Amino acid sequence: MNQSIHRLSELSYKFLQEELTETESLELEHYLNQSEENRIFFNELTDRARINDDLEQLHKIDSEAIWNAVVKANPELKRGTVLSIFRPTLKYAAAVILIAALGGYWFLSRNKKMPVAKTETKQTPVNNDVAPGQYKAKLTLADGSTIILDSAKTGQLVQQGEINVLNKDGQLVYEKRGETNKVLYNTLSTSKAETYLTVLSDGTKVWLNSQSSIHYPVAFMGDVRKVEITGEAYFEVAPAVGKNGKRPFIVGVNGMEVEVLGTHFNINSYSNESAIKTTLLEGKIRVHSSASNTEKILTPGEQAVLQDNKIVVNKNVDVDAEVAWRFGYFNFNNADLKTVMRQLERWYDVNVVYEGKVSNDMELIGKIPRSMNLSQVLNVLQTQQVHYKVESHKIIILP
Amino acid sequence: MMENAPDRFTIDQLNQREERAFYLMFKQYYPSIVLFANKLVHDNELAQEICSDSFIKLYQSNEIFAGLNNVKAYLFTVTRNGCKDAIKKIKNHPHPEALESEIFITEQEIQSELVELIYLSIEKLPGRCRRIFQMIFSGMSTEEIAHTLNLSISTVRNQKARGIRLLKKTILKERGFSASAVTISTALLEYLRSN
Repeated sequence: MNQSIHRLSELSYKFLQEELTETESLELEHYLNQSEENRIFFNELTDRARINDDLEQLHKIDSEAIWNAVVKANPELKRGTVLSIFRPTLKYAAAVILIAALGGYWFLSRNKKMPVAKTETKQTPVNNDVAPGQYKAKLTLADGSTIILDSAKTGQLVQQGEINVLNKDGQLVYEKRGETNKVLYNTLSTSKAETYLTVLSDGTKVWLNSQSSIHYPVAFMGDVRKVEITGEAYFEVAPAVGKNGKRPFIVGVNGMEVEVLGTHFNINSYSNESAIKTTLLEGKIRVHSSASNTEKILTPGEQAVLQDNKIVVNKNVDVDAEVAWRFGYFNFNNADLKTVMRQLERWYDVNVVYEGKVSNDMELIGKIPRSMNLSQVLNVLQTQQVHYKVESHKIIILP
Repeated sequence: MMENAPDRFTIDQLNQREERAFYLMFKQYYPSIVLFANKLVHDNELAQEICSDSFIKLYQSNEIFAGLNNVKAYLFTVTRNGCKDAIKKIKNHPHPEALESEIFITEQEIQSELVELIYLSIEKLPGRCRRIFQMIFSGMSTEEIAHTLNLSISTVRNQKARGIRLLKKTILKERGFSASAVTISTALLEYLRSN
């Protein structure tokens, strides 16, 4: 119990520090649902009366006096203050109490059936809330047999040639035991509401988003490392050296190839998205379209958009938003409604239908953990004038 | 992206103890540190002193931090030690639990961080906008606010709309990572709309 409380504290803390990994947010969710004691701890932590007291306390604090004492001990710090002055603090105790009352739901909104806002007006009730996707995937071995993977199973799954295939901490890992000349291919695939991480035999890490797949040799042969993907994947390619110098890593995706030497990048190639988008975070990559035989070289922060066999390089791309999924978030940065809904369809395994004339001009914003239930994500969108109702696994968007 | 905004500081700047960065960091972190100290020592003035000492220790240390979270963790650690020392000096302190329970201490840390989040979000609103928000929260109607500030009703309404937009931006976008912020903003916006 003590152990788990401590872990829970740690997770809550990391949660606040905004550095929970996706595995950790699932773990936090798990803890909260695990025992009554954990929930009590959490309830105490987020008790409204306590927060009221704290906010009032904070308003009694003389922040200038604290800072002045720091400056007194280190006079050169005075220079840091020159550009701005302290803002007057909130003086209305009533304001404080109200904010706290409104904010009192916070963490607990992570619970299964928690409505987020307290005003009765315009809140759409969600009867059958939809839980977020999970760490789950299907592994297809060289002989065509399949294994269902989840984060609970740990240990060696199987041997493929001279490679050990392990499942540990929700990762599929390929470990080399010796040299081999036989090329064996595996395929890792996710359905809607699933995601997985694999570490290939060369140390390259691949995060697979929902409804995606990657086809790869269990051990890379020759001078080139090549894999094929569908859907969306984030790569951290390990540098590798072969007999003839560096061994490039090539990702084939629906008539396009991305060639890299050691780098971090994301490819989004869902068939229901308008284009294949390749976003580079680190290193250098070459994007090649076989249909038009054109290619472009990307530097970090750039995105190659392949549409109608043409590659266009987009230099003003919000990289954080593009790869947010890999870090466990939705990040909508002035996204249109349909783009947002396609993401929800994939992660919550729901269908979205549009009723009447729905405007697609909205620019939606928000950074929302993917570990939240569907209703919580929808609540955030509702504050931005998105109207909807939910029927079991269907979201109906209203004008 | 956020690092480029003018009121942001980077870990490199802090590691070099740049005065401006240090000051900005102080403004961002002092609420949770002083609250945390107060939760352990139950004495406002003492908590303020301990808080000052913690920032002085940080400034004067040679410590190089890997990230901003490590800075915060350092502040919590020195503050906790400062509180322990202070409590030891007080005879029959009514709340010696700070010396005993790791869980208790961690819980106070988390609690302090949560309150800081709420506090800073409202603080970020610009002058008149924040003033109007404070009045809304103290229960005043649009008409009363207009009268008090000698503004037209439409000006108050415009400021309110502007405040909502800004809150959306600061809370949903910048601080939007956490569920708490999302929830607070959702509730806040709902409330304002019905007001």
